[in-house]
Amino acid sequence: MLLELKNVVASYGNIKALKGISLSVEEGKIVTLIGANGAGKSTTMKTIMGVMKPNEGDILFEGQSIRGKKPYQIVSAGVVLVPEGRQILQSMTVQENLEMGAYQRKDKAGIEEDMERVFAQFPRLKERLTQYGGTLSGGEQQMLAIGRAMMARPKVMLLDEPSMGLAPLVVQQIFDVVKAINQGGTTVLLVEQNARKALQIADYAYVMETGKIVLEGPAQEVASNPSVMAAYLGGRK
Amino acid sequence: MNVFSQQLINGLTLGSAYAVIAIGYTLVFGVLNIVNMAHGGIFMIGAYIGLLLVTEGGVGIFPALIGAMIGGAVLGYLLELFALRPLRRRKVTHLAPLISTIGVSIFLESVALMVWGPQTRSFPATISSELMDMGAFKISGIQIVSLGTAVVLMVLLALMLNKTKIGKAVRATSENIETAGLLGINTGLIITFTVMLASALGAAAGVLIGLSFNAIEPTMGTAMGFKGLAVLIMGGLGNVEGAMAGGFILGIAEVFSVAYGASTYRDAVAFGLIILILFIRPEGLFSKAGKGGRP
Repeated sequence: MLLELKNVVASYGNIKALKGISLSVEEGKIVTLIGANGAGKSTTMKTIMGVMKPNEGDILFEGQSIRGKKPYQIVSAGVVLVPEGRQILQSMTVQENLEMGAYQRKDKAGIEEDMERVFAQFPRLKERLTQYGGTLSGGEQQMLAIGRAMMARPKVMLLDEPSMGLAPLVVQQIFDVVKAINQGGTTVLLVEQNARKALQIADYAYVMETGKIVLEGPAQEVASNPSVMAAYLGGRK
Repeated sequence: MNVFSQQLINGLTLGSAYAVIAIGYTLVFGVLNIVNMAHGGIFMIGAYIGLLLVTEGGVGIFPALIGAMIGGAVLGYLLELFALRPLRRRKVTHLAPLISTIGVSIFLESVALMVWGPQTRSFPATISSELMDMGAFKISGIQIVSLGTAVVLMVLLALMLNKTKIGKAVRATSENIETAGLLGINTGLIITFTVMLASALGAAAGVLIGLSFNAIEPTMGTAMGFKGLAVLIMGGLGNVEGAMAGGFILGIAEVFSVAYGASTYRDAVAFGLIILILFIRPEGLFSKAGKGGRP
């Protein structure tokens, strides 16, 4: 397993947000984590990244515990997060945002190569290169957030609600890109509220409810599960 | 000779030093969201280091300036290590570092009093204070050194923040510390670096002000600290360009209020102007959305 959570408990003050989460992300796959608002999906992502410290349990990356490590150490291990709400650096240009994505890398040639890869994926970003992050539209900001994560050349990319608040056409584009990134060899852990689309591209799925994993299985099986269909896929298939 | 252009030069010289002080405040505010009340103390120690290097060490003003900046950076490191980092680990309120840095400021002032005594000291007349006639105005050697150094420091800082990797990391951390961490930036290291950089600039400003006023004393940091703070707020919290502009505005306002007959009201006019600016733009002159108003 590339990334593994074992019985992870995390809380905001006295409120337990994660009540013993166990999940595994196999190398080369797209794994999705679906569930309603407040189920603890984003908390799971933040806990993996070291932004939140777990109270119990362990997080393993390539067999090594990354629990208690700082975010920058987890990034250098090869895990990168496309955060909820994009978190673009507003006062920095598109180019600078992309450069910051490659902050820990020193291989200039590789960085330029990846920059071209990002432009190939998102030609719009190349047009906006000298514009400030804050002036981009929501869809462009999401492209930049994903492009910025690509710049780290991660082993596993975590995406937290990449389709949130975007126009349907852009949503489709974002999902296509996630698929393409995975086909390029990057493992993906995708948190989504758009369960239908997420299950379409994922290999394996976990369903989360109020801090617990309530269901898991191959994405197609989860998608045809009656309770999942009722709760997340708007009734019938 | 033209009174206006003469006063403008005087104002620019003073203002450039204020700007350098205020940049120190604003850099630290940017990454930590706190007002570093020890900045005035470090400014004062910087002035003494520069003075002692010239009088005891016998070096020129520029090596003394560099020495003061190194001393300031070391003090900044210690400040971060002992007064800021322990509080950050415990996630206390914004008031705690305010109080701890006031404590450091009082400590530094007491040490200066004990070591160097309360009397005012001044730089020996190694640098020409003779006025050079430039036609529209006259400028002294001290003014050229002071204004020139301040401008060079600001240009170097702007280049660093905009062109170098570490400078961009400082800007990223300043805008959003969580995002910066997620991008792989060691934000703890950047905070330490920023406090050291800010303190080095504060110490440099101490030498420049010490030169311009030819008066170095243990209490010089307090008044200057408040002015720097005023410029920080006027320019927009955490905004480097705002601090630069604000410093020049305050310096010029002070000099002009003296020149045009209100020397007793010098500070009143300058601070009145700041209050007026804040009435019109409460978020500061150059504040960007999302940062300036943050507590």
